[in-house]
Amino acid sequence: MFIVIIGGSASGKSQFAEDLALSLTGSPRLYIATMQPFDAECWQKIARHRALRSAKQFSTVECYTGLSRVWVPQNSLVLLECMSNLLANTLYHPQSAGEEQALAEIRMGIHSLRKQCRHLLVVSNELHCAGLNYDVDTIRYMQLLARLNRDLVAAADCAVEVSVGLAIWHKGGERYQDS
Amino acid sequence: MIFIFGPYAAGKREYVRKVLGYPAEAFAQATCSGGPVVYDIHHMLAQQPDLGLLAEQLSRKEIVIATEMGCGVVPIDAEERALREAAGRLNCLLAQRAQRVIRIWYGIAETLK
Repeated sequence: MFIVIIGGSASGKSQFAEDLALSLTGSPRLYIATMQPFDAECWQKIARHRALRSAKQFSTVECYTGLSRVWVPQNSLVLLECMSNLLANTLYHPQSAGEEQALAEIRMGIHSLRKQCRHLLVVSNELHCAGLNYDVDTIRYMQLLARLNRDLVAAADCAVEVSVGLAIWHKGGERYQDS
Repeated sequence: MIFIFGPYAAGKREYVRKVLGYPAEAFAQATCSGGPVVYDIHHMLAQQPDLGLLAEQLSRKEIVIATEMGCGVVPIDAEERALREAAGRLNCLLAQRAQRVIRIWYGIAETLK
């Protein structure tokens, strides 16, 4: 099963994704963390997420760039969070080969994970309804993240929007709506 | 008129091309004097500040495409604030006038009306 979870900042999407992961079978349970800690604020966020996950028995795999080089066991459940960080890390990496290369690398990574694991859950950000008062680089980043979100939603078995911790199923929700 | 809206870059024009079957030449950016499909309508607010009139003109088109942009913090700049407010109000007027309203969420179409 391939599930995409998209929500705004602090919408409860992580916790929702983790709880959804717990309802699926797959072992080991792996969490691919894409947030590169640059400062105290990042560490604080990471600590909060680690505490949320601690009782849920996930092993954490750090992956800031190079998703296509990640190998996971065949029967595993993989929760990747978050696409917005992975895109920024891949795109703005000192050795970045440009936008199309960054998208290709991430798509390849997702494709490779899907082939390897039993269940893949990908969390991404909704940041496209807040107006267009941004500089050109930010708009470009928004366009690229929207492209990835559209690719993910198109390829996924299920796609869900999370708002205030609640699910709005846009695709494949009939499996979950009653649970 | 069919009103199509949704997040920025979420696949609205692609939906109109691929699902509703309009060719590329049917699209006009921010003008009523082009083809049957108008997109980026928030750029029309500068020339036509009368929202009722603008909604009236746009509702004569076959397809009107707008970007949802009201979910962020209220902009500090007065002009940006006014634009965002007007864009949201215009979308509401268009949704009222439309025979069908479809929201596109990262490629997924949902009919709201």
